[in-house]
Amino acid sequence: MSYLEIKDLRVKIEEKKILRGLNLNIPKGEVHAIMGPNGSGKSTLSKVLSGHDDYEVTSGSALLDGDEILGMEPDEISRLGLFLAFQYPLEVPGVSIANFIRAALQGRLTGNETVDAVGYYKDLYASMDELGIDRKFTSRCVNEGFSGGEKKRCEILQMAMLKPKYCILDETDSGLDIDALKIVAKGVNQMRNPDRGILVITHYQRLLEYIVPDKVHVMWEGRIAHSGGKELALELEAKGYDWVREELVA
Amino acid sequence: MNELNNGSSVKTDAMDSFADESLFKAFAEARSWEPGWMADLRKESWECYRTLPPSVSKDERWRFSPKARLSHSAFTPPSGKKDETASAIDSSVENLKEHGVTLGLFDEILLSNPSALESLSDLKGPNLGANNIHLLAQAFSEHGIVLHVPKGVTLEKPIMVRHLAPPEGRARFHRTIMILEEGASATLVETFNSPKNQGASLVCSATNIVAKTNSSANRILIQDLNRNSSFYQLDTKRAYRNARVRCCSLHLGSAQSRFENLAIAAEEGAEIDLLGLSVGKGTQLFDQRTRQLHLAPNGRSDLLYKNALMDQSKAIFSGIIKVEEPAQQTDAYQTNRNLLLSPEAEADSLPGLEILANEVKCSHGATIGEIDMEQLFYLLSRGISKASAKELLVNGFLDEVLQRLKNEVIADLLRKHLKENFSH
Repeated sequence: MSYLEIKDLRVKIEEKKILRGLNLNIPKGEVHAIMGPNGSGKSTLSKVLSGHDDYEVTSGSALLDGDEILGMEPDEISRLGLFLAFQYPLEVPGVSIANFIRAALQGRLTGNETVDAVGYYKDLYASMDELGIDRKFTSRCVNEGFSGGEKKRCEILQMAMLKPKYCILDETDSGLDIDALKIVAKGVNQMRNPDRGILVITHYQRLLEYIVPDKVHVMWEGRIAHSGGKELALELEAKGYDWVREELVA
Repeated sequence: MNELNNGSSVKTDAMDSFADESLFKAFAEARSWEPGWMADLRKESWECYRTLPPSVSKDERWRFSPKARLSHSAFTPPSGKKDETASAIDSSVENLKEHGVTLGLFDEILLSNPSALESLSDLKGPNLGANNIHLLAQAFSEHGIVLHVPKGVTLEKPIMVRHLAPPEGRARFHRTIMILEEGASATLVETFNSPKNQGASLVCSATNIVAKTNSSANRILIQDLNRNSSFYQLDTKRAYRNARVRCCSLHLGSAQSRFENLAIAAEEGAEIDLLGLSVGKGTQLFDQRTRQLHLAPNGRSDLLYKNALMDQSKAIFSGIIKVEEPAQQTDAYQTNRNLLLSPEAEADSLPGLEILANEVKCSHGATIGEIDMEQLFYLLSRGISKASAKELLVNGFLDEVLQRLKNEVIADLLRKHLKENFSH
């Protein structure tokens, strides 16, 4: 049961079918990558799994360690252990990073339990140091006035603090220069462990040079059209996505 | 005050006990220990109140306001008898006397040092619509606080004052007089509370702040009355040459409140910051009227009012910046922002400018917006519950105002009140 298991997922938005019977299985301990052209449904997949209510699920299931997450509220899904690193992290004016992450941890406690402040800051600073985030950022408002790289690092910081069972990284490489990409990739690699499954969604093979996946899937028109090992990413880079289409038609 | 004594007929509204002569006489009798000028001021104000022309239905100063909700006439006037619980000073006042500072409850000062209050009849109300209530405050004021800081004296610690609402069915008028002489500096923090389960009562805070040359006056008002109460905050601030006035009002409680705020940059180089925060729940009403009046050159005034409105709560903001012809090189700004957290919440905003000088920088702006659903999703996706996420977003929205206080201790005090308000 240690899987994020997606079966025959069909999703539409305003009558437009976006996911058309998607199957995917991410076991704990593995890193999978989804590649695919614009409009193939990659971001929809990440939003649907996180419980965004813009989408209508018409059939299928998504099991997180055996628990159905489709139809659950986004905060419930998060507390169950799924983390989405946003492609475009939102600015939250007036809310500091420290208070934001603390509220997220507090949300995981029950009854009268409260986050231990001393332990919290110790962990927070350690994670920030690892990711090369200046400690002064704790009092900065979430993503407000951040550069692209700072935003993505802040996503990885949240991921590190929340210690999810499964992570989805939605185009985490977009808008990053090579140095920022390396730092983010290092942060992700540090989170690889046998108790965690990671799904990396990306356009480009470049990110996968730094976060080397166990499996690569190609998404095409709302389905996984092709799966393979890490070498598939290189093949896609060389041949482009037309090759997938030809194979599908054939 | 005489302008209203134009021979118009005395009120005949049988329901208005504030106009009842026997009640006023009983009040005056109970306070026969007061100096004669005070008794005269009360009488004159009360007569003025009685002869006010009836309000007209199309009064621009009450636009959008459900005026009947803010009516005072269902309440009973104060009896004039002593109530020790009405106002209290929480700060230590021991060493203030050494520096010549006058600090005391309104009644105490009236008894022990009446000359400190002789200017009272010159201290006008904002008169942005609730002129009648200000007249009643002059006539029936018993409680409140007087702070007079002499030339060059700086009070490092804020003066903390608590005011309590009267028993159910009654009205109570608090006067706050804050006078800072040349180069003086002080911070006054006033909190208004009422017993949680008590029925409706009316509380009025009528305040005058006078900041003389180069002085610095900070005043914070926290209104946390129970949600049956009616509240009037009638503020008048006058800043003289290069004086600096910074005021912030946090409105959390009361069923309905009317907040009139007049700030006058009376002499060259005066600087005024007017900050306001309200959080509305249930059917709470916040009616806010402001006037930034610039009389002299090189002044600056900046107003920022933010309202977060849940359920069926409602806020009305109507403000004007008036720059008189001599007030060249004035910088004056006015911003009102409303966050609607429910489809039934409502905000009306009427910012305005009236500029007679030609070399000025002035702007006004108003926004009425809802919670950004993508922002909310972002918070939820971190496992933060919907209620906590909304609280974070509201506090985030309001925090800009708290940062403008430039005083973390006071900002944290207000944050604490906001947090408690959310948990109830």
